[in-house]
Amino acid sequence: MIRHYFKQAWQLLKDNKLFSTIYILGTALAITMIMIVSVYLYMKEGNIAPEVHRSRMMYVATVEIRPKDSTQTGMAAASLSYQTVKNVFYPLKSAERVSAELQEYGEEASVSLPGQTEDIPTVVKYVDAAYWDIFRFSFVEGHPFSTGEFQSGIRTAVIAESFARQLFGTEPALNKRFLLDSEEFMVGGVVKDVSYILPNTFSLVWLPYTVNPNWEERVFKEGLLGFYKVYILAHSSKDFNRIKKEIESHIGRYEANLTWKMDLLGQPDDTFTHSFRKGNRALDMPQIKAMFALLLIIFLMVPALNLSGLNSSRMEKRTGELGIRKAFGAPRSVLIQQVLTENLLLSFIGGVVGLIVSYALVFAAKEWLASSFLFYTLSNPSALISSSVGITPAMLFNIEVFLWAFIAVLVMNVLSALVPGYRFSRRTIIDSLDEKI
Amino acid sequence: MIQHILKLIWTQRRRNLWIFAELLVVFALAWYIVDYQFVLIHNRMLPNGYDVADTYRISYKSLTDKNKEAFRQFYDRVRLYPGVESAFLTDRFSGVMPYSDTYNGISISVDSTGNSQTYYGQMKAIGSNNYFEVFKVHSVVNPSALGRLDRSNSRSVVLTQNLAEALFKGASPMGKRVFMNGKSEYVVTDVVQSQKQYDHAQPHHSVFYYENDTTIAKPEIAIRVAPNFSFEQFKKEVSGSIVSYKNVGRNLDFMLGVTNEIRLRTGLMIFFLLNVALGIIGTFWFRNAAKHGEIGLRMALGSSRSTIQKQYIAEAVLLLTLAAVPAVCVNFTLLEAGVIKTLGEQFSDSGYITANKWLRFIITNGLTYLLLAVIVALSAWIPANKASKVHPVEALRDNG
Repeated sequence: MIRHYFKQAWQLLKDNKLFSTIYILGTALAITMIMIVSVYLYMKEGNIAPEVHRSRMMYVATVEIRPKDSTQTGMAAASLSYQTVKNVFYPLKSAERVSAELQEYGEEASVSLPGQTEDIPTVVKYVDAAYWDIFRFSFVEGHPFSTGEFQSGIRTAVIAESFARQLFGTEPALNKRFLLDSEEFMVGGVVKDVSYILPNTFSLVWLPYTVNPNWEERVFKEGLLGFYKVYILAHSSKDFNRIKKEIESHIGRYEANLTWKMDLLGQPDDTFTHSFRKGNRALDMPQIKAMFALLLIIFLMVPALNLSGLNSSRMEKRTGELGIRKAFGAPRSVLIQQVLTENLLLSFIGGVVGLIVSYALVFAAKEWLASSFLFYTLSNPSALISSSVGITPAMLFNIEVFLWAFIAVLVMNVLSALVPGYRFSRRTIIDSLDEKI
Repeated sequence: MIQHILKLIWTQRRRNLWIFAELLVVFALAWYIVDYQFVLIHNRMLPNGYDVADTYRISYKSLTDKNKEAFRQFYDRVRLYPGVESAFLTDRFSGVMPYSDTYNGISISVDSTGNSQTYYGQMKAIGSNNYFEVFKVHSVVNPSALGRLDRSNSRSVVLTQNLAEALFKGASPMGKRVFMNGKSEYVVTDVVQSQKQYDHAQPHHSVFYYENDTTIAKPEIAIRVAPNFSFEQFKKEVSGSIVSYKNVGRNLDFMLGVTNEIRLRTGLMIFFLLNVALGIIGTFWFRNAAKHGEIGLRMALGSSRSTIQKQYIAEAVLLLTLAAVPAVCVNFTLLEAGVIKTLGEQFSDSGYITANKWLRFIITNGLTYLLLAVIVALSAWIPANKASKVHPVEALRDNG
């Protein structure tokens, strides 16, 4: 029966080229927008190399502190100090791995080769040894710095492949030296470039944070605040609550003798929440989720109104055929089924067109997805972005994205054919036969 | 003719229901975007109060005891570099420079007793009058001159025009006293053009006062250059950390998320308009087939081609107009519910159109209607054109 419907649907498509074109365009419009949103969301929380464990990761980036004495006013907010990381986060037992990154604000780093004067602006990340266990980078030369090298503050660096080429041409970069802010470093490893859309892992140079002169610097009040951000890799996302509780108990112990108390503002965050966090600004996740839901509803509803209208007028032309089938005993459900199936072919083609267009648009606008953090520290972020990797195939071609496209097509199909189909099938036999066949 | 078309719309109401619903929904959603764009364009058109053309920002590392002397030499090199007309030095986090993301707030009033109204504004601590030189900020009291602090008076402050008007209403503020944070007393020695923090914002209140350069921790140098300045040479010879203030502004918009907000709304608007266009074309085209006979009849009875076309377009625009009525009611509800997001700060006494709730509502709804009407008319013209090319004899033969 289904095959029969499809044959009929295909014939209908060929007979009504104009209607089919407009219908496919209408569907494609909806699918394009929905897929752009889906791809965008996937980039925020999908497991994309080197952030392959995003689904079981948590993050702490900002903390607010207030006096324990409620008669005093005052509040300070910043990232974590090394002391806080050492006392609260590094000792976490319920996590698989904990890594910390030292963030440098407002300073643009520049690199030069020994003996040359030209300053090459670059992006630097200061990380620890555990960073390389949490994120899966692809090393084309050498290897990441070890725990030992990290602890002794050895001046070894991991650099991105494109940056290695910029510095050393086609020669292997391993063991070569460069100067960063007048300090000499040796290349210990070269990794495949990371997309600038992944802010936690994008960089051109990675150094052990122990080489940074400020690495133990405290910022404010009893050494609670500083510039560190913490990545927590859990064994599984089921452990999240257990880890949260352990963090709370560590904080309780840590601030027992202090006069300030810490507020983690709902952190540690999962990947999705963390991608929206901007400093200590209030983060209303329910509102953000509602906004996305509203967006998806708009993208479905408005074209569905269009397509329902088109379907309605198409039904009008076929009332004669309907009358005959009803006279021969076809139940209403069968008729509705037929409408939905015939529609499915058009919806499916519209879905494919929509998906392709969405890929093209995302690719064309990829620079819009760059992390806003880059714009804060660099004096010329656009030059960096245009020479770096943006969209990787993994971001567009993956099971999640295809699944969402498929579901969207089905939903569009039902939305735009159900109501007209239902009304269509309710016409009595006499009304239908009465219309000119 | 309108009455006739209204009758037609009513008789075909079943078929028209879908397109009517779509026009209603799209009108309401599009209005939200039109309102945003209205505020944006309005704000962008307001003068910044400073001129960033031919200005650059040069950054330097944080000052420590070790590099203080090196920085002094660096600053001299920048100041004296060929093509540099004027230079101004401040701290990166002072909030003084255009497109700075720092905001240090103060409260200000005309007396210290708390009897008169307190206003809030941004404080801008400057070490020299070079700020006004580099950014060509003019005095409002003496329009041919640049703004300036009276360096002989340590309590001298310069107010922006909007703040001066708020504090002193129509009277001249020159030489009058103001109190900041309730206690510190200052004297107004000049008034300058109101300043915007971002291109997309409205000007807010600002106060310039003197603070010694020795407090600077993270230096930022602003320079104004002449045509003989070579950007590339400067980068090679002096420092690579140089960027034009125009780009600083652009980067700031991106960082604040405004750029993406605008892109999202523009994308949504294009989506809505495409949908409407598709809907109108589709709906009216499929009428052609059904109304074949009717058109033939009309033409046989004397309608010209252009009349048929006009009728189509009129029907489409009339549908829009009918849908606009409930849509405007929906918009009204949205407005009253406070759902409308406005850009930046909105002062209720700011005197700008954007603060006038009803005028803005009428203008933005009107603009939405015009925009949609154009799209609807254009979209209806395509099937209208096709329909009008019917030959009356053939159409009548079909006898619909």
